[in-house]
Amino acid sequence: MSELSDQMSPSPTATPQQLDFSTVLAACVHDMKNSLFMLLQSIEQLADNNDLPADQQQELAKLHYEAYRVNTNLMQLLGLYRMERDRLPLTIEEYFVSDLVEELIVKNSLYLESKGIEIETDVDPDLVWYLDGDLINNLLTDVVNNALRYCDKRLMIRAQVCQQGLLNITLEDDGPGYPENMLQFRVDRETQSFDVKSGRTGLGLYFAGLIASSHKNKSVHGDIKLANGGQYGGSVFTLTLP
Amino acid sequence: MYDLFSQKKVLIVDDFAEFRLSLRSMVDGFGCASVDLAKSGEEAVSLYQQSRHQIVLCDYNLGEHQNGQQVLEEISLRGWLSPDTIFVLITAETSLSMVMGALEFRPDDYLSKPINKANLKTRLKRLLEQKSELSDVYKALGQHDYNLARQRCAHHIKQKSRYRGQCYRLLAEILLRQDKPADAKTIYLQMIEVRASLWALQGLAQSLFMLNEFDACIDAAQQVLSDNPRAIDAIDLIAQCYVAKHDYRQAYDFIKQAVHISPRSIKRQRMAASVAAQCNDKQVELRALRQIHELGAHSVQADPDDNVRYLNTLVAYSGDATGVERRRMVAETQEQLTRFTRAAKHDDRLRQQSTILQAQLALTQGDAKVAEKLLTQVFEDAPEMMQHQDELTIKMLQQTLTEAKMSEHQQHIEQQLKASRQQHQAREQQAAQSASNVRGIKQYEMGDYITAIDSFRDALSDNADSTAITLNLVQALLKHLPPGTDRLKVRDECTRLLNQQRFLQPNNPRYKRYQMLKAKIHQL
Repeated sequence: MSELSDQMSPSPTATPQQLDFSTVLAACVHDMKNSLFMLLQSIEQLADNNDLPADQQQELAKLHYEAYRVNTNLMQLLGLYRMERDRLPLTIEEYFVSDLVEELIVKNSLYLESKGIEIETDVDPDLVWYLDGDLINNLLTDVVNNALRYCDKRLMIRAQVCQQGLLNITLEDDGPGYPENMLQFRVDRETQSFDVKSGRTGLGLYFAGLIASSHKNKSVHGDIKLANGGQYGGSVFTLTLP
Repeated sequence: MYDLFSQKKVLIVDDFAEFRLSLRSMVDGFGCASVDLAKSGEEAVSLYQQSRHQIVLCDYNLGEHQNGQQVLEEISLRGWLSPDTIFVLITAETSLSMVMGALEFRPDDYLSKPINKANLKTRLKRLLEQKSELSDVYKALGQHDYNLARQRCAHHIKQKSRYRGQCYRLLAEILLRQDKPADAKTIYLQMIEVRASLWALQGLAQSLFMLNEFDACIDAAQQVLSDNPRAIDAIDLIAQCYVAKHDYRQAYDFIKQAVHISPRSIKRQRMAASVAAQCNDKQVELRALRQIHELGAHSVQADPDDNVRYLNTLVAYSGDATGVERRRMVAETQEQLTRFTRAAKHDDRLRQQSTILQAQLALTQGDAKVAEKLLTQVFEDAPEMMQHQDELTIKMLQQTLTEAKMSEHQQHIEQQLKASRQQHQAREQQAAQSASNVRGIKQYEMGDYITAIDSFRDALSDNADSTAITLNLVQALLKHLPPGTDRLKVRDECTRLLNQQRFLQPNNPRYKRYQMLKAKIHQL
């Protein structure tokens, strides 16, 4: 059940002395997540206190946002490592798409309020889709995180089933849009050359692409697409799932 | 808006004080009726027994003792789990929260850390809504009234309920539970037509297994694994298929994988031990037996003979080992044996077993004199073992006598055993024909289980260790489970009854039925 407790036991081949990297990584991530959990808790408790001046509230919201980003990154790191080792384990289940979207918004409510950002949604509350809830949640969290960083005041999340019977989840913002080199992103292309200096490393995108394409139905794979424009003239992220 | 939380009692279970308090401060904000905190599985079980909380937030990792899954299993097995309780298992990590598991033992949801207050609230709100929408189904399930639960699922599906996907899944699982794999298979195939979700594929594999279509089952399970190589239930199924096909080598490969991914299941470790024994891998067998022995201390799934089996293999293996390995094993054997002997003080059978084990240990250390003395002493008890048909202990004794080259004693036992088995057979026949047993069978066939149970009890008091009557009584007890039955109590009684028959050999005509009933008890 819990990945961690299970992995801590020695593998049949390894002697107890040699820990494999996966075990170390899982243990570290576990530990860091526990710390993050406490950190996020403290921040939320401080933020609950309404007497704080506005600028301090804003700083707290920033703290909260960054702590969540660290968490997302940790999950990506672990996911990528697993994928390299024995592919990404998928657990395809039925989900209400509106539930996924609601969770995204709720998770970021502190930041949204402090920045005065409005999220509009267009999702049929009864729309059901088959997907790995944790992975897709992780993917969308990362996209929303980025959109929050670059947008001005508005964000839109939309979910629609297109004519080919695929699910499109679209995120649009009113920011400056994706830079040119990112618009070229393609899932199936070689590992992206990560540009560490620009701040947008592309690691998240790479992971998102892998998650999307690991979802398949019959022979159709999922995909992600980046574009500029849309309703607000900013960046437009589209996740397509079969 | 009607407040979903105001009437709810909450139970928070975590071994870390900080997390407990942290979760508590979140939940406090929802305006629930009360919040209880538990720092261990044992504490959680007893608090739940008192209050039947509507919301249980339980960490998976609870330190050395029971884990969160075992807490759920225990309150469910004891018949306490209320159908309106939401049990949320909190795991350290996402994506590997396995969504399978037995019908009654599956948490309503998994949450991964870090948990955020707002998110917790929406998640719980959603679960409460689902529970209340399908409450009639869960109620029937809670009473183990499977036909009613099926009817109600079908009704929700017909009404195009928002949760009809969940209803299909429950429906198929109930069919499996009711031993109707062909019907379940039909539903799973229908579901897969739409989309091959993991649970539908897994369910299909399970129904194929029950239909004895082993090759098709392996195919379906492999499909699950191609999506998720860590899907433990699929690996278990494949291993079982190979065991059924008597292909122990293949079974061995899969069961090893399964044990590596998740070692904390007694059932799985038992299978690992028996397959490893078939494949002559003492080391793996021993590791499995040790795990069973360790897990058994905190699980309702433990078997009283687990310990002695473990020790028996441990002693045998330490005899074969060499060098450092041998010293380590002997030390462990001595330590375990001391503990076993201490516990054996007030139990004749355990004392006999402990003496045999000590003799075995003496033999491995080349101390033939001590071994002989111990064996001569326990040899006196051989008639008693035969009287109880205690084949496990007799087998241990015979093995050790052979190793000690005490062939006269060994032959003596061999002869007596033969006579004693014949005697038993004659007595058994007589018991089966006794008036109260025959009456009980008639009553059972009429569906009158309560009077049948009484008749079999009468029959058993006249023929204390009759296998036929014991099996009849167990079968009747398992048949009579009205709503609200404390299943663990029934289970304890049935286990106790069957335990008196544990020495049944595979060549006994009743062996198959005995095994079947034993499996049924484990399902309770």
